Amino acid sequence: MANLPRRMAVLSAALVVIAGACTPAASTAPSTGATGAAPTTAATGGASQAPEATAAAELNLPKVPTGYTELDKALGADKPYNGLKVSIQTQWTGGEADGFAAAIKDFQAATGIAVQVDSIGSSHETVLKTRVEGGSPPDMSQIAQPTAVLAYAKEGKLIDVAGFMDPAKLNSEFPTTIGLTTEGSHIWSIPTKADVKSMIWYPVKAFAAKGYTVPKTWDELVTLADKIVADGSHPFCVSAGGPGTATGWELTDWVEEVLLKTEDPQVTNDWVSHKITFQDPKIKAAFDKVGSLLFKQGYVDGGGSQIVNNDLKTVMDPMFDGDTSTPGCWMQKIPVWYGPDFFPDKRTNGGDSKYTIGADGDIGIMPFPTISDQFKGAEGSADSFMVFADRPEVRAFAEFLATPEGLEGWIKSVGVLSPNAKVPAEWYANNYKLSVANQIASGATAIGFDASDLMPPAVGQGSFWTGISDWANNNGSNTDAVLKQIDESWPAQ
Amino acid sequence: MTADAKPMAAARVRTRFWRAPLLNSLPLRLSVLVICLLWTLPTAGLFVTSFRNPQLITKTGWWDAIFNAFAPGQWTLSNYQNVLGGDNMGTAFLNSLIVTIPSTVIPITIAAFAAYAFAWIPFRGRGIIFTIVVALLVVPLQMALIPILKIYSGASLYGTFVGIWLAHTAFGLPLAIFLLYNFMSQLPRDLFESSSIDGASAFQTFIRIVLPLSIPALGAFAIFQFLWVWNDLLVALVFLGVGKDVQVMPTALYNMIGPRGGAWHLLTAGAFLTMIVPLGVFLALQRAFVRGILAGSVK
Amino acid sequence: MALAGVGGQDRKPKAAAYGTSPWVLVASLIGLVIAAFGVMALVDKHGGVNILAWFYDQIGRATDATALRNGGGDQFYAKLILAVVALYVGVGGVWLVFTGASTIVERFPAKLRDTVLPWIFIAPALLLLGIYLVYPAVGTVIRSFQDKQGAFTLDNWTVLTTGPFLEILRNNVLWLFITTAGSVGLGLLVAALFDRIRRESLAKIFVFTPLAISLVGATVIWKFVYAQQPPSQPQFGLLNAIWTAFGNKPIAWATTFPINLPAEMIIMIWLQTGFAMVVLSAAIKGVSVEVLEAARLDGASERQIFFGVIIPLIRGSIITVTTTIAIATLKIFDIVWSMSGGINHDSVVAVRMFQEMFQFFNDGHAAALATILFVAVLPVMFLNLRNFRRQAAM
Repeated sequence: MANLPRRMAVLSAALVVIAGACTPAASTAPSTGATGAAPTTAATGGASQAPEATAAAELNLPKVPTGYTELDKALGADKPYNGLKVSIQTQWTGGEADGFAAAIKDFQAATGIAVQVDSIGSSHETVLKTRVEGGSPPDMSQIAQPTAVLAYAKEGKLIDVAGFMDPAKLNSEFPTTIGLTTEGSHIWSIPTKADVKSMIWYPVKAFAAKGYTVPKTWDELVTLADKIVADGSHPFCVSAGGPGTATGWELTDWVEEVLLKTEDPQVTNDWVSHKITFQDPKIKAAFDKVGSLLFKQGYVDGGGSQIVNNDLKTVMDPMFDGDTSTPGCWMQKIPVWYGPDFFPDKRTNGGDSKYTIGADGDIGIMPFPTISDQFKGAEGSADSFMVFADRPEVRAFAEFLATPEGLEGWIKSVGVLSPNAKVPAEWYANNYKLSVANQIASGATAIGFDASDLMPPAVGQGSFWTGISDWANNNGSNTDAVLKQIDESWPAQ
Repeated sequence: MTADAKPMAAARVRTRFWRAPLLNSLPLRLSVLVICLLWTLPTAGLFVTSFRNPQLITKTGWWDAIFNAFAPGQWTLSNYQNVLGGDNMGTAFLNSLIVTIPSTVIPITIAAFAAYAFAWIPFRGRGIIFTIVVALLVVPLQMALIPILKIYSGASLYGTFVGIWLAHTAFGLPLAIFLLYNFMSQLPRDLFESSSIDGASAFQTFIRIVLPLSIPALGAFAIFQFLWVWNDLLVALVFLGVGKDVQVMPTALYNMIGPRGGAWHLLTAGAFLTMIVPLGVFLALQRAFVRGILAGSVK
Repeated sequence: MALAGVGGQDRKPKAAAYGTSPWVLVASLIGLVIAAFGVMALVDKHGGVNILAWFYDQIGRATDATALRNGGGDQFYAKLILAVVALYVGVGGVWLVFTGASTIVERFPAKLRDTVLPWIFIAPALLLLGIYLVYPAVGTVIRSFQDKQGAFTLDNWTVLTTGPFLEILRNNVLWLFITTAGSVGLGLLVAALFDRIRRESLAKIFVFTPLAISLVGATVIWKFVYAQQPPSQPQFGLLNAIWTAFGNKPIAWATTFPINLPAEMIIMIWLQTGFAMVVLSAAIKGVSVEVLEAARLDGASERQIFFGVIIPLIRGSIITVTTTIAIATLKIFDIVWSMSGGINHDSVVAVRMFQEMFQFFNDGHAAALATILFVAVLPVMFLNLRNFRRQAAM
C-alpha cells in the first residue's frame, strides 16, 4: 500500500512514453541521424576495414563514457569481458526476436560478450518461473507484467538494478516507466520496450473511396460507424480470443481507453489500487460506453459472442477483402506491434507483406478519438528486463540495454518504441507507425499504463478477462453481475 | 493351460474368435466404416490442409479443396518445404530420438521388474508400497517441475539428456507399473510354481517366463510412453531448454511457428511430420502384439 | 533390441539357461563401466564434440579436431556419436544394472536371496519415484497449508469454496464421468467390433491415429472442426459448415457455454478411445479359445458370449483402462487450455492450478488444488486395490 503512489498507473501531466517526442530532431546527436539511416551498411563497411576503424557512431553502441561503470569497462579497447557469456530469456519469437538480435549484435562484437537468447514463446512465463524457483535462472529475462516483476522481487529473486546503475539517471531517462517496478530505493527492472495502445488501424484507400473521414471525436466515430453499417458493412474488428492462452485483453483495453478519455487519470490509479471497485459508477460508465458501441447491432460482425470467438491473429483479415478495397470490417483498436506481422499475407507466407502501412498506404493508423475535452489520456504498456545474476558482464549488458542505443538496432530494423527519453525522435522518423505512436503519446494529457497489467494477476489476467468475456457473450446485458463477480475475486489485502 | 513355459503350440494360435460368417454381415461392416470415418475425418482435414495454399486455409473449408482439386493454385508442397527447411530440423530430429528412445526403454525395464515383484514375489509392505506407487499417477506434472529443477541445479543435470531421461522415466513409471502389474498378475499361477520347483530364481523366472509372456503389455505401454515423450513440449522446455544443440522437434517446430503466429499451414505440415515416427512405432509394435498372442493365450 | 534378445532365449533348453555363468557378471560389470563413461559424455555439454575431436586427434586430423572444438566442423557427426552413446547408456545401462545386481544376489544363500531380490527389483523404481514424485507431492501438500510467508493457514482451502472454484470443481466432475465412460465404452465397442473384421490392424490404425498426433496438432485439427466465422462469411469449420447448411446460424462451439463443455470433452474421447481400444483388444484376444468354444457348445449367442463371458473375463483390464483414463481426465489441462483457456465457464482444476502457479503467483492456491486431485483419486485407487486382492485370492 505504502508503495502505491510510486507505482501509479497514470502519470498526469504531459509526460510521454516516447521521448524526444517533443524535442526537435536537431537537438540530439547529429552523427547518428546522418549515418544511421543505413546502419547495416555502415556496420559491414566498418567490419571490412580494420576493426579499430569502426567508430561507435556507426554502430548501435553508446558513446563512452556512458555513465554506467561496467558498460564503459566492457566497451574498453582491452575487452575485459571477452569470451564471457550472458544468458537472457525472452518471450520474443519471429519479428520481435529478429529485432532484439539486431539490437544486441554490435554490443556482442564490441565487447566480446556472447549473449545467449532463449526465445521461449508462449511458455515463457512457465519456464521462467520454473527456472527461477528451481535455482537455474537465466542471467536476465524480459517480462510484460510489472506485477510479475514485483512478485519475483518479493521472493528475493531479483538483483536490484539501483545497486549498480545510477537511480537518478534511470529516473530521468525513463520518467514514465521506471516507477512501475520501483519500491522505495529499489529498482527491480529496466523498462525495455514501450507500446502505445491508443490507436485504431483502418484501410486508407477504402476510406477515401467511400468518402469517410478519420473521426476525431467519439461522436464522429459513432456517426461513421452508423454510416458503415448503412453501407452494408461492419465498422469494427474486435477479438477477445486466441489459442494457447485466454486473452480478453483487447476488450479490457477498450474499457481502459475509454476510462482514460472520460475521467481524471486519478480514477484509473484508484481503480488499479482497488480504492474504487469495478462496481463504481465511473467504471461501470466506461463499460457501458464500450458496450453501447461494440454490441450495437451490426457494429461487429456476429455480435458479442463473435468477439469472444474471434482470434486475435485473424480478426483483421476481413479488412483486407478485395485487397483492402471492400473491407469486411473497418477499424481495429490494437497496439503498434500488430502490423505488418499479422497482415494475412505476411502471417501465412512470411517474408514481406505486400500491404503498406502509411497515411497514403494500404493500412493507416489513427489516434483513438477523444471523448471529453478535458481528459485526453492515452494508453501504453512496457516490457521490462529483470536481472537475476550479479556478474560484471551481466551488469554491462543490462546497462547497455538501458541506454538509448540499446534498442537502436531494433528501432531501425524491425521498428519498436523505446521507453528511454533520450532516444532521438529522428530514429522514428522513417517509420510511419512509430511516428504516429510518437504523436499520440505527445498529444496526450496523461499516459495510462495498461491497467489490467497492474492489477493483481488473479484479476488482471484472470477474473477481468473471464468477466469481460462473459459480458461480451451476453452482449453487455449482464454488466452489474459481471462487475460484482470481478470485485468479489479481488484478493484479500 | 499347461505349466509349460513355452506354450507355443501352433494348434491354438488364433487372432480372432468370432464366427467367420459374421465377417460379412452388413451392419458390422457399416458400423466399422462409420467409426473409422468419424475418427479420421478431423485428421483428414489436417492432412488436406497441410497441402493447401496458405492463403486459402482460413478462407474456405478443407473439403472445398477436394471438390475443386484441380483448380490452379489449390495445392502446394511449400508448407512441408518450409518446415523441413527450417533451421536445425535434422539436429532436432536426432535430439528427439536421443531423448525419446531411452525415455521409453528405461521406464519399461524398471517398471517390468517392479511390477513383477509387486505381482508375484511376496515381501513385507508390498500392498502399501504398491498403493502409493499407483496413487502417484495423479501428481500433476506442473507441481513437480520446480522441486526437480532445484535438485538438477545442484547436480548439474540441467540441460542434459540424462536429466530429461530420468524425468520422463519417473513421470512414466506409475502408469507403467500399474499397467504391467495388471497384466502380470493375471498370468497363471502354475507357471511360477513349476518354475520355482525347477530351482529357478525370481530373476530367472522373470527373464525366461514373465517377460516373453508380457510382450503385448510391454508393447502397449511402449507406444504410449513413446508418444508422450515424442510430443512433449513442456518437460523438454524446462529441463533441456531451447539451445540449438539440445532442442527437440516440438520445440523447434514451436519456435518456427511462434507464439502469436497463425501459421496454420506450418502447424499442419509440422504436425504430420511429427506423426510419422510414432505411427511407424505403432505399426512395428502391432507385430509385437501378435507375437505376444502367439506366445500363449492368457486366462 | 533387448526385448527381442530375451524372447529369443526362450527357445533354449531349460537346464542350460538356468545356470547363470559368472561371465554374465563380468560382462555386465565391464558394460557398466563403459556406460559410466557414457554418462560422463552425456552430462558434459560438449560430450559428442569431445569424443569426435579425440578420435580425429588419434587418426591425425588435427585441423578437423580443432574446428570441432571451436564449434564448427562436423557437428552433425558429433551429434550422431552422442546419439549412439546415449542409446547405449540409456537402453543398455539399465539392463546391465539389473542383470549385474541380480547375478550377484543369486550367489547368496537361497533364503537371503529371496528376501533381497524383490527389493533389488523395485529399488530403482522407488528411488526415482521418491525423488521425482513423492518429494514434490509431499511438498505440495505442505504448501497448501502455508501462506506466502510460510506460516500455517487454511486460506488456500477456504478460497476453494467460492463461486469460480465451485464451478471448476463441477466441471471436473462432469469431465470425469462423461469422458471416462465415453472413452471406455467406445473403446470396448471398437475393440470388439474390429476383432471380427479381416483388416483389423488397418481399422485399428484409424482409431489409434489421434494418439499419435501431438497436442499442437490435435488443437489445430479441432479448431478446423469447431471454427466459427461471422454469419456473413463462409464457414471453414466442418461442424458449422454442416450446421449452417441446414439453415442454422453458426455456433461458437468452443467458446459458448454450455456447449463448449461437451465440445471439449469430445476431443478427449476422440484421443482416449484409441488407448482403451489397444488395451482392451489385447485383453479380448487373451480370452482362451476353449472357454469360448465351451460357451458356444452350450448354445450361447454371440451377444451372450460377449456380455456373459468376455466382459467378466477381461474385467481386470476394463478396470485398469477406466482407472487410467479417469486419472488422465482428472488432470485434464491441455485441451481446455488450448481450445479456450478456460475463459468461458469451462475451466478445470489443472488449468486453474497452472494459472494460480505461473500467472497469479498464488502457489498456495495451486498446491491446494493439486492436493484436491490427489485426494480425489484415492477412492479410485481403493477400488482398484480391492479388485487386485480379489484376483489374487482367486
